[in-house]
Amino acid sequence: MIKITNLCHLFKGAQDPTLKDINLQVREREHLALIGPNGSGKTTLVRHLNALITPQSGEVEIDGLSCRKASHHAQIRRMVGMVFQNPDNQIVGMTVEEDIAFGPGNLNMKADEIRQRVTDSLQMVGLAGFEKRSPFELSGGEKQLLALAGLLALNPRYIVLDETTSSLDPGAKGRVYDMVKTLQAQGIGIIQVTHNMEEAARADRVVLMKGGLIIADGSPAEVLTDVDRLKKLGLAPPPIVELISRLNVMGKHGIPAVLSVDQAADWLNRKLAGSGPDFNNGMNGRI
Amino acid sequence: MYKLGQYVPASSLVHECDPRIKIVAMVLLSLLILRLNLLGIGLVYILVLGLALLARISWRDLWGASRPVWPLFLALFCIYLFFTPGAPLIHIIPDRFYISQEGLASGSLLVGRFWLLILAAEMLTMTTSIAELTVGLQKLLEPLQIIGISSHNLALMVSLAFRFLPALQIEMNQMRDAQVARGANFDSMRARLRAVKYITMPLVFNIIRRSEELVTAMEARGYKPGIRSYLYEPALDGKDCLALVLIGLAVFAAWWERTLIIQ
Repeated sequence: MIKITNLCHLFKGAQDPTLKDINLQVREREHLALIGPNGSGKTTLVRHLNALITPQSGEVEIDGLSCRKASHHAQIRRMVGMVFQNPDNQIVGMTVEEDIAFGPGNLNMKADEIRQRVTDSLQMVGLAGFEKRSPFELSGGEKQLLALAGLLALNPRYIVLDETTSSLDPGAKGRVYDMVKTLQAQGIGIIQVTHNMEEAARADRVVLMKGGLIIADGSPAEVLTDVDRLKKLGLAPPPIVELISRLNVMGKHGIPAVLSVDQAADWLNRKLAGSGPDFNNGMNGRI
Repeated sequence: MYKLGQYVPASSLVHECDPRIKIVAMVLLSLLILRLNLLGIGLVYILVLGLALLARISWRDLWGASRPVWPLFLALFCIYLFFTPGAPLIHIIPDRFYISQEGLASGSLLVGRFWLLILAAEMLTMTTSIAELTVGLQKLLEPLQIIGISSHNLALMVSLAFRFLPALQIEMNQMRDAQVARGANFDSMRARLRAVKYITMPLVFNIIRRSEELVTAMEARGYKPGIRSYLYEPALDGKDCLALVLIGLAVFAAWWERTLIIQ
């Protein structure tokens, strides 16, 4: 479990703390989405999880290991992997296999073991056969999958995705989403920083940050259906959530909170089937 | 995309040779080349081209990889050709401006030497992947550990320098395209030279930013300076030892044979 207790952080020269008394716990196998406007402290928070930033005050523990102790950092970085926004700036090797081998090499593993981990990781992310390719020849989505493979070679327990899909096309995003679900099913906890609310809706839990504080923490249905609050923070709610919200305001239809088009279609289908001819007539037969 | 001496994967005796042997051979050959006369250089050309044949690297690829440096060679050759005093060979302006025998000889020797150095370096990089090169370098520099210099850090620095070459090229192309889209003209040499100042500064800033992000990503993957291991671990075998002995003997013989050395 990741346990953050009373975490504060003030950058050198800054007036206001970037993180103010953060308390948060992330369980194994949990998929947590971290949302919030720019400057809300999301990236600073997740960089603590990988010991890239050491807590100034408060505590961050990864499965009982304190991030405050430098002697724990190597192990913590093995346990918590991190994928960043720009895939090009994460590539270390000149070939796909060399890049994946970088992490295990840092752990001073034997060449045979490194080779095995490279093969396994590439298979997991669906890039088997790409071993000798130059990472610079890969598409944006493939590069992010390569970054994931590089982490998987370290057998992490948690993976932090820091706006990983923001520069990807829908197809590539889909591949990353599928991968996230597969990893979660294998027991890996996912912490996903995102500005995309539809992406956040796929998580088990959503944490909303503003000005260095956690202002909401709950299920996607609880956090993402508060359309007014999201809009005030400059965040765009998922279009389907906004549509349902407006319909409810306009006609007091009492439509339940839905987060995806699939859920909305399912509800509407049941409603149409259950309401008989009257409901259809009400729609003037246009549905 | 980066092409100068880029690794050409193939299965050959030269490719399979231990990278340490290839690096040592390259250094020895380079030292020798600087001391050889035209005849000696001719012999080393035959050796290098023979090795290229053995490594199944076409001479066309070798020539293509060194093509970008030929304008420099040509300029150097012309300087030697026209400005070296000596016995006149061809008069351009009678008694004032001429090509001397010495100029022709020195220019040919200089260009021959530099090109051979580049061909030897190309043979190394075209037959050795960056991973092999890095590990080979790391193993060769290991004794520096005694004076507190980490061979692992030096090897990583070299490998990152190679890694940044394609990134630098992509970045530069993107910046050039952005400027062309805003009406910049790169048709003439003058316009290209003028554009250097507009490209250099953002390029430097972008590379610094990229480097910082790369360092963060490396740390996140557990990097810390010092000892690390590699995907590829070289191991010397009989063929490697034989290659080392042969190269050593060839260099020694060339050095010993006074007719090949500049007196």
